[in-house]
Amino acid sequence: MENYQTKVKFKPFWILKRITALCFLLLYFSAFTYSNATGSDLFAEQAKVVNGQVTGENGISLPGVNVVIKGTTQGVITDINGNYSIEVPGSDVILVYTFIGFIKQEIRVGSQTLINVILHEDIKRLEEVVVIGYGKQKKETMVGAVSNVTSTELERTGGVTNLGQALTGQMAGLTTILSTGEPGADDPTILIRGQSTWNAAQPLVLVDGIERKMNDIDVNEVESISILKDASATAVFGVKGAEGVILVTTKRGRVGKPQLSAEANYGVKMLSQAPEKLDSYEGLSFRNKGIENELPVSETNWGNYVPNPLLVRYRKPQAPGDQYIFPNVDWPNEVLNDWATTKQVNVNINGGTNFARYFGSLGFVSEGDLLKTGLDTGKGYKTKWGYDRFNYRTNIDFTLTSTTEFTANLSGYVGTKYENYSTEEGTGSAMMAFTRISPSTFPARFPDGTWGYNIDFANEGNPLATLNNSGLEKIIRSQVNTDFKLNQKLDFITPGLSAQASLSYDNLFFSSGGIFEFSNTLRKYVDQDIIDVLPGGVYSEEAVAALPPSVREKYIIYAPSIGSNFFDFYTTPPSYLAEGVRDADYWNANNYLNRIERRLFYQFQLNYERTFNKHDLTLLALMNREEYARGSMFPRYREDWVGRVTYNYDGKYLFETNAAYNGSEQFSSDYRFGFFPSVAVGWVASNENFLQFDWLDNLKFRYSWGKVGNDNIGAERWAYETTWRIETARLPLGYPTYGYSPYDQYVEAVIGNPELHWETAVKHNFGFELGVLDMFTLNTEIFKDYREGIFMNANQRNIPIYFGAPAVAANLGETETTGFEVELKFQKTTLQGLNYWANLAYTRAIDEVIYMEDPELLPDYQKNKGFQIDQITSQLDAGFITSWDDVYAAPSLASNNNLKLPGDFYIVDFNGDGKIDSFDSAPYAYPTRPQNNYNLTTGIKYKGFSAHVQFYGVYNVTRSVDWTLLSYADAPHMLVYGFQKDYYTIDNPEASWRAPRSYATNDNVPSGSFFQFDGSYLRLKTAEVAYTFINPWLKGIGISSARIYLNGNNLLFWSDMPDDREVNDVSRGVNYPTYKRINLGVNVMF
Amino acid sequence: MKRAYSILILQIAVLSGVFLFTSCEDYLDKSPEVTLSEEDVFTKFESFQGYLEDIYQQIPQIDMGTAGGGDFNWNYGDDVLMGNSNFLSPQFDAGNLWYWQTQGKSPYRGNAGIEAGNNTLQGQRGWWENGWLGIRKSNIVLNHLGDLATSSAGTVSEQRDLLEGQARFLRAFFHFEILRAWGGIAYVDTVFAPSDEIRLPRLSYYETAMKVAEDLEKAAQLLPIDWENTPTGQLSPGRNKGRASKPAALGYLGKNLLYAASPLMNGVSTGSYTYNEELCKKAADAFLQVINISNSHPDVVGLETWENYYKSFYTLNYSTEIPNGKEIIWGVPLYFNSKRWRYGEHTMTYLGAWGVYAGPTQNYVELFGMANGLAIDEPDSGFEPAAGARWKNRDPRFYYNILYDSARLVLTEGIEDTWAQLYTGGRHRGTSNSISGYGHLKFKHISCNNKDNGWGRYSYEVPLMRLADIYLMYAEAVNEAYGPTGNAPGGMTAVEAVNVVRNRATLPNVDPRYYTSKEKFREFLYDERAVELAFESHRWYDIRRWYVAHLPKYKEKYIMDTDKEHTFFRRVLYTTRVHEEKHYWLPFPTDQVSLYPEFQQNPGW
Repeated sequence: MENYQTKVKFKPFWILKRITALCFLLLYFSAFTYSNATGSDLFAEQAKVVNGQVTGENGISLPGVNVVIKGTTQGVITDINGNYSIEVPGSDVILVYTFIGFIKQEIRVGSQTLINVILHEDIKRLEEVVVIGYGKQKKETMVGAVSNVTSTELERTGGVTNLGQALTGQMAGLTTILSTGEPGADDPTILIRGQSTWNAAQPLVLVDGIERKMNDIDVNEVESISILKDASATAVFGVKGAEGVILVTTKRGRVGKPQLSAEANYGVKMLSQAPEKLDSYEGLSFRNKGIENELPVSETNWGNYVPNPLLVRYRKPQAPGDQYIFPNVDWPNEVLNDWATTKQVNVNINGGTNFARYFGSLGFVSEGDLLKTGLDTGKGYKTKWGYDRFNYRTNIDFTLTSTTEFTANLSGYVGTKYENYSTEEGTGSAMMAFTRISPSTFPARFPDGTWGYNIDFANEGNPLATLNNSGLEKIIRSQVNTDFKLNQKLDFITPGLSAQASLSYDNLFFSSGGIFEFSNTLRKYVDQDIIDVLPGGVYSEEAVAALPPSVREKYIIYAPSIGSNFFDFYTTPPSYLAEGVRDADYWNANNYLNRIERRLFYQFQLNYERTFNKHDLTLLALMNREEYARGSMFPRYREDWVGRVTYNYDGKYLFETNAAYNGSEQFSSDYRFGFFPSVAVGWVASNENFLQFDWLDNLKFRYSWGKVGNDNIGAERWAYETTWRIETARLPLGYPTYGYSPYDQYVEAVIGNPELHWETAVKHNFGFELGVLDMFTLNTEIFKDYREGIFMNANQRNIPIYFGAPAVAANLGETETTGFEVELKFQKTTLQGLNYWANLAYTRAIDEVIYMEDPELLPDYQKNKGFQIDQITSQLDAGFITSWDDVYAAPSLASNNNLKLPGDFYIVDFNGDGKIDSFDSAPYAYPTRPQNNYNLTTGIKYKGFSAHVQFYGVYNVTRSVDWTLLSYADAPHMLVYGFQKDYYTIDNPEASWRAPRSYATNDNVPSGSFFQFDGSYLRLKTAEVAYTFINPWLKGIGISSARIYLNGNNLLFWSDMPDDREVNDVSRGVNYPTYKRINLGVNVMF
Repeated sequence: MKRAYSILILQIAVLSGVFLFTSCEDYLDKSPEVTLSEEDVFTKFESFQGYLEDIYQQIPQIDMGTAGGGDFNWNYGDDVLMGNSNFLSPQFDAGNLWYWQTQGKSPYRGNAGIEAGNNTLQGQRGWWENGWLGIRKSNIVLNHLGDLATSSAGTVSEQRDLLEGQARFLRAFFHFEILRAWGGIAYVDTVFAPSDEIRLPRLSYYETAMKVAEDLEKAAQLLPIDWENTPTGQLSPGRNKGRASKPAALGYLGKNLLYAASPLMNGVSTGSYTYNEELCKKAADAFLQVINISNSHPDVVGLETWENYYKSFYTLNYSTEIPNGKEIIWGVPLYFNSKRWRYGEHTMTYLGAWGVYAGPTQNYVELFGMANGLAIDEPDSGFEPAAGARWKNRDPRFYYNILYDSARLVLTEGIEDTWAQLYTGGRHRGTSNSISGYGHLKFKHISCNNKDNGWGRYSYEVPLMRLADIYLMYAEAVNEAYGPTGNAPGGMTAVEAVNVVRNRATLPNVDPRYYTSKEKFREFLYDERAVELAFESHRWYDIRRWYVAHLPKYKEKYIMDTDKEHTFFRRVLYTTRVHEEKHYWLPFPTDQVSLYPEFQQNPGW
């Protein structure tokens, strides 16, 4: 026996032996690199030395892992490279590996002498340190409601390039609402514990402690994300904390040799779900049916009836050119490619010495696009949609002296977005393909390159033509963030005291340029009657060319009109627009005021942390200021003063109080500063002597109460003060000639409300944590959020008109939100190292309007009071009008009662006044925000192999879209959706849609609640299979581990909604299709 | 060493902290240079008057629809017929008074005014929103009178009087306009604070009218007859026409009192749907003061000559001349009118408009008498009922106002549109031209069309109050108070006042047969108002206040049926206006009357 007591040295022979052995193993077990076979007990009782390396799932070696012989206290600790060596008394020994944040793993030694161990992260994370506002806390003694996600969980989300989307379904209490898949603009709306205000309800997002947008951060740079939910966690953010807080923490260097990690992945994305549309034959048949039904009220529509001989030619072309005169265009298919690609690359390095530690990351993402752009139009440019982003970050920590630490972060990104220059035209018309143009209106493009149009709807754009003829704009969004932080221990004053000063400066630039064109196209219309003059009725370019010009001109009409030859055709050529600075919020809020954003932030902080016997005490005091400006605006200022005391006795009795004193320039000096306190108590029952059971890991109760605020009231700046403005024009008063008054006209620019103040939320949170058998953890939170002083802007207020001005915004609203969260986690690792786990989370949050200045005399059911914010209202239907008797007996419609026919919806006369009008509209179902969401994530890990699936679903949500209003408002080419197919006839009285109408009256007869769709859905949000190679032979070529994964995002979607979209609006800008993605990647650690 | 280093860092931290924290109080203050303050506006006359002048901008141009072109109609009584049902006239005919809330087609509903500060000149303004906005602004002016500290001409007190006079006039004017369309309303004379709970009850018509009168009396005392002759007016020489003046204040004082005295208003106040003679006397007194001013200051206030009659309605050189002459006592401040030729009630489709045309009704045309001063139904009037001849020897104002079949339509010779073809089935007859068989000419020079292209320099205006109206209202008030030939104290008789107006139109004095009694002369006056003030947006208000709109005579709207050769003439009933009791007042918006119980909807709505 060789002596392995010494550290492993370079021994060629040893390596050769091992490689040979490994090759054999690989042959036998193909995928599994090393077995922990326990079969051989030949040397059972012989003492021997076992050595090996302990790594995490990603292959990074873990130093400081305890390796102990089970049942003894004998053990060793892994070195800086994760290596260990331990002498064991024999083969029948179990080694126990424990490390904070990882699941304890036991391995039987058997005949092995080399045991490499992969430790799995512990999803209970009791010992974990969690990032909270202005500090960190141990999860074990935390009293606030905080959830967190680790980098591992974020990285496996299936190739989404947007951090907001990566958060979806990761934890309880968080709801995301995604409305668009537009590359570079696909930020979801994030709600924490529902919505308690009708104003900006987006949570505060801080990246490394500074208010920053998180969506463009490379997931690979993120260490963890904490979601602060209750008042005890958010009170330190005071006036900004009412909607919850998201804290993104980036990775930092740690002492060790440089660890280089490279990741590359390649994904394809496909359309998730589009509304089904009937093809030309079915659509026109449907409309024919409508014309027949409607004859009693509208005879003139008969002229639009498409007779059967023509109808069949839409379905089955009778001749080669039929698709141009009897078009049947599948528009979504016409404007979208089947798939688009996404490419991501990231390289990062992590390491350092005791003096300096560094983390550096470079990332590149290229999001392709489904829109069918880039067709050759002969104009010398090709259109394109897509988003490329380059991310960079260096985070460096210096230990200047034993008491002084200095931190410098430099990070940012450069995002380049491509789109049509005249965006309105571009996406707007692309979306017409889904919701506006019927398949029979016109063909997309003729063989000669001209684009189809219909002379009867000459203003109706051709989606494919506009996509390819609306210019190309390149928008560059570039962000540079710098942070500096100095931390000084002040133990010489009193032990445990330290001070910290930090300074951050962020800059964001927008610029754009490109080719401008406003959809200049040569369009062609071919009158269907041309079949009468074409030989055999067959359309072809040749046959048309053979017609005498006078006949041809009668049936073929160009736009713009052309003369006797094609050379007369002229359109405005595209123009080149040089790059210029672009509005800052261009992609988000259409804020056209400002162009460059900058933010300066500085902070001073005192920390005190000391343990006296069983008393743990921490104190925090800090002050910070922020100056933020866009473009040349007067900067916005903020100022915060924050304090915190935490105390716990023996890890059993927990107490914490926080307070923030915030200043906001939004309010007059009387209301400028607000005080937001919180108090929380906790009892860790499982630490009591009388509750020491083996099966009980954790039992904790906690309660918090606090006040937080919201100053994001969306009002104009300085809305507390009346300000004045000079009008450009003067009063014309001269006679006989025009002459103007010499006086500048002054007007009130803003009517101030000096009593404006923040919204105040009083939050209660009760938490209950239970951990048993080292396998199950249960975390339950019950919360109540009472909000008052909710800002109501001019449009929301109801005041008499003789106030004489737009209503002035005021703090009037009151709401209450209640709900609960349950999070159940399970994990188990077998002795063989098989780890299986599952998380189930459920959130329910229901808000109720208590006061919203409803008009006093409105009936209760039309008030906001008592319903959820943005409650959907609708007229209600009770089946169909099935006979002419019913037509006369049913309550009369306030307008268009004469159009009522059998087969229409029977509308409920809600207020019983005998007529159907707007007062019969009553609260229906739910708002657009889901009340409930749930997610289930489950997976297994075995050695290097891992797999998981994550489901995310919501229910109690309503989506209100009148799809028929989106389609083009004219006969004879109306769009019919798939969900209208189940329509009423005498033989189908249980139908979902009323009997067909022709377009003439379609919008004039009520549709009841038909267009209130149940917005519930369930998605297979992510799924992944991955394998990590951690092989010595890889190490031989310098690779410590390699991980290959295949994952997908939004793979399956179950819903009653016609398309995959979570908002009501399907108009321009938000109606870009959403995706599903499949992604293949590799991550290599060096 | 290390300790020293730490201390140094601490010192830097503390020092910089102290430095930065010192300015703490002011850190969140608004920079003073950011915006104008109240003080910037109300201490100097120039800026104070500048603030006030924005109130003038709230006065709706009743002929002005959506931005850029006047595309709605302003006559919705028994006077015109329109073929396009999207307009107030046909909707009001059908009894759908809710239609006033339709933005873009109605002078009652604005789209720009109620947004404070967003009073773009071309935006549509409406009586409802802009009225209240103007009232609030007037109240702000009145609240700040004490702040005026400096004057650059005249004295501070004189300028304060001018500001107060204008503000009181404008406040009363807007209340009056709302009052006469919707009925009694809260008289708002305070500036509400944003957090005030506002629940004013509606006043009765009489109460509101008396508040209006109070303001106007005060305004009449404060305002000058002619701004040009005041030191402050000399700050803007030649640019004072259009400012609120004493004649305007007196004219509206009288009009307000006459309205309050009228049968409808007196009816809702007292239950007696007859004239209130006491109020008529007060009204006559106010009108008389205007007439006296016109006698003493004929250059400031006076009737135009018959030759220049048109100048109160249009001019043909918009850059040097606008319709705001001495006969106009009150009107809308005028803007660039060069574009205001094409749309609206008065240009036919073939002549460049787009299918909106108001054709005078047959019954209204019949109100125009003969050149000899007699009504056409008098046996000795000389009226020839034969189709072609019926347009001969009529009141000169007939030819000024009415376009009839075979009359000259454009100046260009020898084209299809040279002569009007208004006979049944004619080129200019139909839903996008005249459906009645007549056109109206009051605001339109014959060359304003796309054939003669005379509209390039053309500018028109619908005056809100002109001197002829004062004479006629005076006559009405005096007739009710003192009879047709009774003298008002210090003034002329009702008949004499009417003679002034008719003589100007080259007509003889009123034939004695028409003033044999108060009632007889009342009938005559009603028709005289229809003729003199035709198409100036008075008719709908008049037939309401006279409490006659429900009578068949004012409900039935007739059209002319004739052929190209005028071989026959038939008077055909086209429509009967729906006018029940509730149609005497416009309905308030539902969202307003839902606010609190004391803001009551008008009965029947």
